[in-house]
Amino acid sequence: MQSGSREGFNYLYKNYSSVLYGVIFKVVLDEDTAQDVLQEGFVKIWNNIAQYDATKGRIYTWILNICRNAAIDKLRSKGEIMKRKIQKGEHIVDNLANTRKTEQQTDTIGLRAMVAGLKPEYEAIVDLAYYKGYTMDEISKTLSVPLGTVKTRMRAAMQQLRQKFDV
Amino acid sequence: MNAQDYISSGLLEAYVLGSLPFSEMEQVAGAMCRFPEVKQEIDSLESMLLAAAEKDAVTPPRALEESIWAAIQNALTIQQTNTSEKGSTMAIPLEENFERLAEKDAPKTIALSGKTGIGNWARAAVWVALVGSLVGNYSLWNGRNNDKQEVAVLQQKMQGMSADQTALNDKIARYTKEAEMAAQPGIQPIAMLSTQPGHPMAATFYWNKAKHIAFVSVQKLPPAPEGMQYQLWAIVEGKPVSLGMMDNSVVANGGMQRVPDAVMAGQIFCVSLEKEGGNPSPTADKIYLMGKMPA
Repeated sequence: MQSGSREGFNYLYKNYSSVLYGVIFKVVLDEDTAQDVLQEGFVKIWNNIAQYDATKGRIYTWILNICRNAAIDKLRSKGEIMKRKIQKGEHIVDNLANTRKTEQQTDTIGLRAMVAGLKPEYEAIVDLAYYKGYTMDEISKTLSVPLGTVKTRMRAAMQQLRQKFDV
Repeated sequence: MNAQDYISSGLLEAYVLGSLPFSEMEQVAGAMCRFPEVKQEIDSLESMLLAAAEKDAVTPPRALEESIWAAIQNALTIQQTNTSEKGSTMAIPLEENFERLAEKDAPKTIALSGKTGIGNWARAAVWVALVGSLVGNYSLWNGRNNDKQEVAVLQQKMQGMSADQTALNDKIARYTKEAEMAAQPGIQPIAMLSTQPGHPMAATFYWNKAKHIAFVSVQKLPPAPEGMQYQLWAIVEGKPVSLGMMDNSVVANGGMQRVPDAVMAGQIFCVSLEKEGGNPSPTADKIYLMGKMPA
């Protein structure tokens, strides 16, 4: 893959595109934007793959984070955050409907929906961190809870998710 | 912080969710090198997120594959023309690449303003190229910043690793010494275990009965508080006999020391926490470790 050929791209695309697209979509919640971001993400991956260092972590995580970060950047640059905050109550329902429309092969409910199944205060934290790219400090300010509580809830939420995934 | 502190701190969760500020990110990266348990926990959290992402997978529209490939080819061509001009290859570091591009842009702009005879199309084309190049520079600059962060993280990791290695070497030396000690003829090892439920503590007492010499090796014992010291005892026919004091630094580093006094006899050996310098008899509720001479 690091040789930069078309076969390499095909491999990358075949194996990762739907997972990456899924995550990007969860962030930007718009199909056209998600497609743009996926393209940006792939170009970024392609240009930097020579610099990917296997000792630093799994390539899968690396790739996923490139795309997730690109999606969060896009979301921020569009000033979407304020809008989403207002829509907060609706977006999960909205998102599920959208997901059903676009998904052809998903038979299980993923992280977003699982997150939705968590306690509300936990849900908000994972959502803000993973899908909105908030730092803990920002989360603490946004939800008006102390930083220590953010950490505790973050851990509790992840433990709860981990049990569900049985990892 | 030790490995368990990291695991229960919530920092690792924040790390994999990408919501740590840079300074703490470095801290976690360092901890990941020092403690295998921390790395394992992070791996496991990442696996969970990947598994979750897989369940969230959505197939993108079919046409997207070709358009992405075209975008990649396009980006590649831009890179090649940008770099081939100076006869360099794509392998040059991003930082250098960035500076080369910056140099290259300057004369281009001057040439543009100097010539008045170019047509609008050519002018537009140059502007497009210029804007493209600026966008390119920005993304290179971004990339360079990412690289810098990565370098910092790696440096942190390296530091952690070399500290690890020193600690590991010390540990190995200690274990070797201990293994040799235990293997000596006439040495009786006695495991001393915690007497305080819920507080796992342990040390090993090595007694050479014939020579009346003993050593004590600390496996796990909390550091003695200010003004306190651990005292060693032998219980001889039901009566405690002091064997001397333990060195606080040995306790803190989990090392081994010679038992100060001669060990003439004993059926039970214990360690209690006493005031600095010791007491004539052990404080009953401060006896932390106890081990029986095997029958």
